[in-house]
Amino acid sequence: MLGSAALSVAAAVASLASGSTVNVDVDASEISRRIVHAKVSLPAKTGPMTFTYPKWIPGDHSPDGTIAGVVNMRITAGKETVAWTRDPVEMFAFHVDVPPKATSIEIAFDFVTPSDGGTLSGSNMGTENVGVINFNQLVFVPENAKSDDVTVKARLTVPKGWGAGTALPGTRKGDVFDFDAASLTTFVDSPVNMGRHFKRFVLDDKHAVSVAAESEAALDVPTDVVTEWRQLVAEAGALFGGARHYRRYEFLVTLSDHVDFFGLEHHESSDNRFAERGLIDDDKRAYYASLLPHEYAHSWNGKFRRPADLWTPTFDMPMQDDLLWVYEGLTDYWCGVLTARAGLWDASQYRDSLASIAAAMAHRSGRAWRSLQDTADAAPLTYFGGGGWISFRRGTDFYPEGQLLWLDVDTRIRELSGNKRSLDDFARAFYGMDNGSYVTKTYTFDDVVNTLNQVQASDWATFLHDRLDYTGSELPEHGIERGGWKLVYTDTPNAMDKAMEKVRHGVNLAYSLGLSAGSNGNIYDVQWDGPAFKAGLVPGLVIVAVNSKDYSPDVLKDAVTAAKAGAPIELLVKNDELYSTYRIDYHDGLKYPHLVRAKGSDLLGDIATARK
Amino acid sequence: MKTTVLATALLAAGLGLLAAPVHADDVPPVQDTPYAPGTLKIHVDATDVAHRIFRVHETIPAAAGPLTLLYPQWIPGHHSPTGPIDKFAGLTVKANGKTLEWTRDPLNVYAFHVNVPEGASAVDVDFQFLSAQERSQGRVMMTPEMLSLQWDTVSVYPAGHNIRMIDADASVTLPAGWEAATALELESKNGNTLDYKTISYNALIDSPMLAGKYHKQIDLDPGAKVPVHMDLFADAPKYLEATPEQIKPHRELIQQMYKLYGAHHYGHYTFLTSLSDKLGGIGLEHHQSSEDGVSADYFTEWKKNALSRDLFSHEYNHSWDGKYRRGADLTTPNFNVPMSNTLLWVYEGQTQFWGMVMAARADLWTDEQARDMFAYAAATYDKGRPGLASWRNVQDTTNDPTIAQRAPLPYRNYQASEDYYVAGAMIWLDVDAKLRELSGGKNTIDDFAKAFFGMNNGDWKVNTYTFEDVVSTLNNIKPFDWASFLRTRLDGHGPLIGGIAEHGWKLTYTDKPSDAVKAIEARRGNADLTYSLGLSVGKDGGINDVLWDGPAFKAGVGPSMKVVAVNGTEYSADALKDAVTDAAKDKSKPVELLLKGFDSYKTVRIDYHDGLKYPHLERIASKPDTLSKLLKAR
Repeated sequence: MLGSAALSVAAAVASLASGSTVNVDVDASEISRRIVHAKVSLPAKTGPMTFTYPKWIPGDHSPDGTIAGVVNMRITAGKETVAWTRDPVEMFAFHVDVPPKATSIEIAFDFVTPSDGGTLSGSNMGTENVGVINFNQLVFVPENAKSDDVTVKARLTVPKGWGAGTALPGTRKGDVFDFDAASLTTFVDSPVNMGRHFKRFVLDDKHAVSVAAESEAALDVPTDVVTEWRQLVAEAGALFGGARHYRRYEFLVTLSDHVDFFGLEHHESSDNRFAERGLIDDDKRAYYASLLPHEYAHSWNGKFRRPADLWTPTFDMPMQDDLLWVYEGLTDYWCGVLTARAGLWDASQYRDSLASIAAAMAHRSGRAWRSLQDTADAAPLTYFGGGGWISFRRGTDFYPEGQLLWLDVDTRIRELSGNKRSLDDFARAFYGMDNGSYVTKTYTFDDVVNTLNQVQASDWATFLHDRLDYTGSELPEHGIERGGWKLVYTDTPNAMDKAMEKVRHGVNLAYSLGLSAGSNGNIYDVQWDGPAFKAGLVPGLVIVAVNSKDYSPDVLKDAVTAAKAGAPIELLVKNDELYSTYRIDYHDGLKYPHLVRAKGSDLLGDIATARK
Repeated sequence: MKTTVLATALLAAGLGLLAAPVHADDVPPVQDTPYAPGTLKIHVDATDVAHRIFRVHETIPAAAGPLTLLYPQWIPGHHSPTGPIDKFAGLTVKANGKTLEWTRDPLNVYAFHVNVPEGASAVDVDFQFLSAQERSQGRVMMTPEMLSLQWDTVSVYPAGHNIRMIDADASVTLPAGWEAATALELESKNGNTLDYKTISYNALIDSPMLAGKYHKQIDLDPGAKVPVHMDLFADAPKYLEATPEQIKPHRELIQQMYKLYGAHHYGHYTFLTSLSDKLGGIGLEHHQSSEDGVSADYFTEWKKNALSRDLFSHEYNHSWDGKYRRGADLTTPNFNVPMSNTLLWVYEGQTQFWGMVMAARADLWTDEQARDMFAYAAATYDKGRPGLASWRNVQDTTNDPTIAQRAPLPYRNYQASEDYYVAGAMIWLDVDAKLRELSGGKNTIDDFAKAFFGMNNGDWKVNTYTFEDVVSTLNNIKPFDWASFLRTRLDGHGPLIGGIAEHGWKLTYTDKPSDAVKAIEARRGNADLTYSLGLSVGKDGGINDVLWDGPAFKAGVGPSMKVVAVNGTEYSADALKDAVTDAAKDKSKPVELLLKGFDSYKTVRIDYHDGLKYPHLERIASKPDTLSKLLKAR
């Protein structure tokens, strides 16, 4: 994908502008209009110069820098306008000719996002009441500058009277933040959320939660939840051997129904975006409860410890995603564990979440052709695949199946050690060094295997490869069974699935009829080779009626139940402007996943038990 | 309980032959005596446009003792007991500052009884009239830009006296800067408050007001002693821009009417014209004015709105036919005595006829537009009213204002409704043809018009008539058994459109809609397949009407259903028409409709292969074209 010769030589990180200071002045006072004004001053020398816009964004694992949102770019040197051209191959790179005697250039531009559509940090950044900015959106960098070596001095204006939260040290006067000088790495790693309705929950002298919301009502967080957040901080400390890799940690929580669901990890903070009533509505809180623990665990697993081939010295260089089953998969595992241990979920909610993941992964028909490893290798694709056929294409399965993989590892350690050791010991060994340091420490596959072996000797490389590289029809992970539980299906959804249907207003019949659909009948996915598939249905069609009755999720479910007695399930379906009827030959009733106790001791119970 | 004339009348109307007056109201009967206690003072505060509330303060002189106040129920021109009492609220009655208890008559919900205390000479009545806020609640009478003030909605009056013998002094306060138009004569103006000259309560109710932010007055008879105006009120100033070419036919209308009737029945006349997509629609006649509601873009989209233009000729004609000359049984002593509508086929039927003819004579319509509209009307009574061909007759439809009160009907074509309008026009076209035939072309319906409506120039006191008067006027022009001629058509189930052929034209059906049908479809947003599939369908596939025993009806289509798809393709008017055409070309092809009713879907096959059918008039070469003569300007 990289065409520019200068950029394609990965090792050629120049020292041209390293050690220099970039000044950034951001005016976010109009973020409600989804327009942010920025001025970036870059040190420069007379003659040709190339500068770039961040492309490979840490945490996105993809070349998805938000260049499409940059508009109204004008460059000056002193009072002189400087013409620019874009590199014809690398859209993130710009060329200028710096005029004589100039020692810097100033790049003035606006950054805009759509109100709807766009992905990750290119999605909606502002509403009438809330806003979030990530500084990778608002900075240009001299070509090939190492992000650790560039110093950024930044100023930020927020909308009048709004509250704002960030981990970036600095002082606020009125609506203007004057940030302390920071490395470009830390600058880009330190987002800011802001809101007309804003409340900061101080957990202790090192931890706080900054909540920006669409309404004052959304800030009325139950005190139990604040207690559980404190528990989360304590449990993470216990799990990761007491070492913390930040100066202080700020959970940034932005609550809006108009900003996409989103979570992005940073060393010293996390950017969490979910529904306006996500902290005050019980169903929604249960549904979103694991987001903060997930992003928080990343401070250790992902930000501090990072796969060597994923870590890059600049934002121009491609990342390699083959170890995302550790970066994201193990984080997802820690997330479940910490959510349960902190009390944000009870043990049964934790088991429900495992049941839902296990059922989904057990029905990944795409495993027939694609391995778990490939879903990570291809992360720049799997994050953005979109559309239907998720079960057959497979998505970012390294998260959910990664969680099952690490449950398999954890229970295996417990089994081999006679329950004397567990993955908690791995956590201490793997993250528990260099307390207070947020300098990334990289690792390889071999480092993971070696640390596992330190905890419990076994052929871990083979154990992992057997699962990562597997293609076939079985779910290769067996942690649930080894943990004393069994995945079964009944005709009633588990509590977590029920909460999910309430929040997302759809119906998931993947394990029965072989399809999932929205409240308006849009078919999200069809299980490859399942009953709906065999009847001819494909994702994207719209179910209009079920057995001649107007479609609703309940009408569809009732029809599946009624079909147990032999009746057909007849769907009137709209395909663009065409209507046709599909008969599905399925008579086994509704199926929803649950975990039930099986033989052996209850390791899942042990794993979910608080340490503090 | 006591019996009254009114109670008996109500019983006769409501309960048929039941004679025993066990359910009689307590309202005094109407006497032809002046209301001795004095003049009603009515003030309407019409400034609360934001809430769409008219606030009324009324002083009614009254003697001590029982007093019954009536809210008008039978509104002239509506021909039905539909005074909007459901929007009447907040009634308080005081005498000498003391609140009086009121009770509503349980058998007449429009009547309120109070007891006027000794020493009092008047009662003070306060109430509000709450305009509908949206169409589903009734007629919206206030918008941010204009208001329609009808005095019957904002006043009560004492029972027991002929409304022509009760005097009323009305005033209104309008929003600042608004202008008003009405046939009432202004006595004084104080700021935004307009005080009108004292007038009979009857004439007050006949003289509504239109007021608004954006107003323009057009003189329709420049230089005339008796002024005729068009007072335009619009949603926005740009809609007031009428060009000289557009004004010309409206002016010509006045002259054509004068030529036709040779007399008029007003001291001055104004068309209270609302150019609005917000104010509730209206076409309501009065002696000296009419309320004419057309779309905001009536002038600015002149061609598109061509078919609305006969509204003006129709309502104007009513000043002669309906207001001045009125069926004797329709002429009531007050607004709460039931009306009898037996002669509405003259009142509305002949007005419908002249509305169309005068639109052509004045050049509001071209001859072709008029013929298209006659074809559209004729088709309705050729194939579109199975109810009239079977169980109901035109005469019986004159009861429909009281029966249906213009509520939406499930099977309009079979139930029949106010068919005395257009079927009436067809009958009068036939009468014209008969007069021409009997007189060898010397006499026409113009002679009837002049003889029946054209007397007593300038007089606007109601001049009543009976069926016999109609017949004898026709006989005076040309002797014939006119009673049988009319009764056959009014009371029978036979053909009503003979006048078309008699005038030298034939009703035919082709697969191409006329411009008039296209315009009607565009205005209603529907696809009219009445004469082919036997149904008409709205924009979103909602079915408006299903022709009784027509192909769609026989296949199981009902008017409550929605067409979802046609031959498997999402509904659109074009998809439906294409399917009908395809089924005509290839007889093996069905017209298959996917229908939704309540929450259920079903598919019906309509066995129809005769293609699209739209009505047109076609010349009969062997007969003289007297239709063109009828439509020709005098």
